[in-house]
Amino acid sequence: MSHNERDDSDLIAAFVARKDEAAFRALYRRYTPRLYAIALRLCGGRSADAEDVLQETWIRAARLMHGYRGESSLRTWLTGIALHCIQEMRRRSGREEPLAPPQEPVHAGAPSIDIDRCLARLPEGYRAVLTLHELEGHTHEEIGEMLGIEPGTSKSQLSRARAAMRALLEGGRA
Amino acid sequence: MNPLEPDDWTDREREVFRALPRELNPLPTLENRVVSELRREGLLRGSSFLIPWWAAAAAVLLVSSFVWWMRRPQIDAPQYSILLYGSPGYAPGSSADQQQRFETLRVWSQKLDEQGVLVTSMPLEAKGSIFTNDSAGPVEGSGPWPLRGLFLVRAKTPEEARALAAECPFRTSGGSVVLQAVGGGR
Repeated sequence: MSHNERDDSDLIAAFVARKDEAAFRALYRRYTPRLYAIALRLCGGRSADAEDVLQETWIRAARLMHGYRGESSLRTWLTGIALHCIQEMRRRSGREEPLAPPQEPVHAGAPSIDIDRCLARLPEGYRAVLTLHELEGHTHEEIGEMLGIEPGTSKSQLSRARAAMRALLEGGRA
Repeated sequence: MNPLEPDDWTDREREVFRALPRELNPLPTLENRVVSELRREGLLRGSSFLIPWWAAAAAVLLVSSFVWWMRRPQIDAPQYSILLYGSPGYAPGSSADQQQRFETLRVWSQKLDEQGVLVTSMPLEAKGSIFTNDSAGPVEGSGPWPLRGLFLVRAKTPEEARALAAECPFRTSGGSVVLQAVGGGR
């Protein structure tokens, strides 16, 4: 059986017990595209920042993997680590993107590019809950755990994020 | 007034969200960056079946050197000719037999080349021209023992040269294989 066909628990066991590089690479290749998409959106489309986040995420995950007990899915666990890395990066850089209406029509080009452009203009908290809930399908309980907030807070943040998103989209149509 | 509640998406908005890619790929170099860092921290030992590039390069170099050494031309060794004569017992055989014999000799020639002892080899046509002092012109023929082919090889000792000549497959045709050292100290 190739590493690509083995399930997560086998690969984690091989990595933890034997520091198996092939097992680690299989996990990396399985989850990185999803994690990178999240990181890129939460970093406002800055690919260099998203790659730094990914690198730090995997390094921390490797250090902590022996303690992973499978209470949440590996994807959720890794996403939580990535979110912490993003928060730390923001704290270090003091970077904060303001909420500002887009200057060009947002529906003029490919839909995915337009919506990503609008996402990048949202405040970070809104962007996070919108990405995690609407795109990643996480529950408010999971989001609350990952972001260190109450599920109710996640819910209200999402409501405000949707309104802000709609305002941006409609502003672009004007 | 917007008839929609903030929590509701329009069909168009839902469609746009659904169309967003859930997976994106970073630069391929990121994987090796991560793996290098983990190796540095001692969190990865390296796969049992992934050979480091420098080890693979060293192995290739070692094998290449060995092959070259085994096949190296013996440029300082004396030269010997191995001459293939159609002596009285020689049976040319059918065209197919001759083709088979040619192929056998070609394979033997290739083997000598791989051993690094072959200087040159060539087949010769059965008929030629004989030149003598007492005739007005050349006479068509090939002499008492027509020469059918020749090999020029290098060997460190006469014994080594004899061993090479003894292996020549031309003998199976009934012909003679004659070994002679090249004169003049070559």
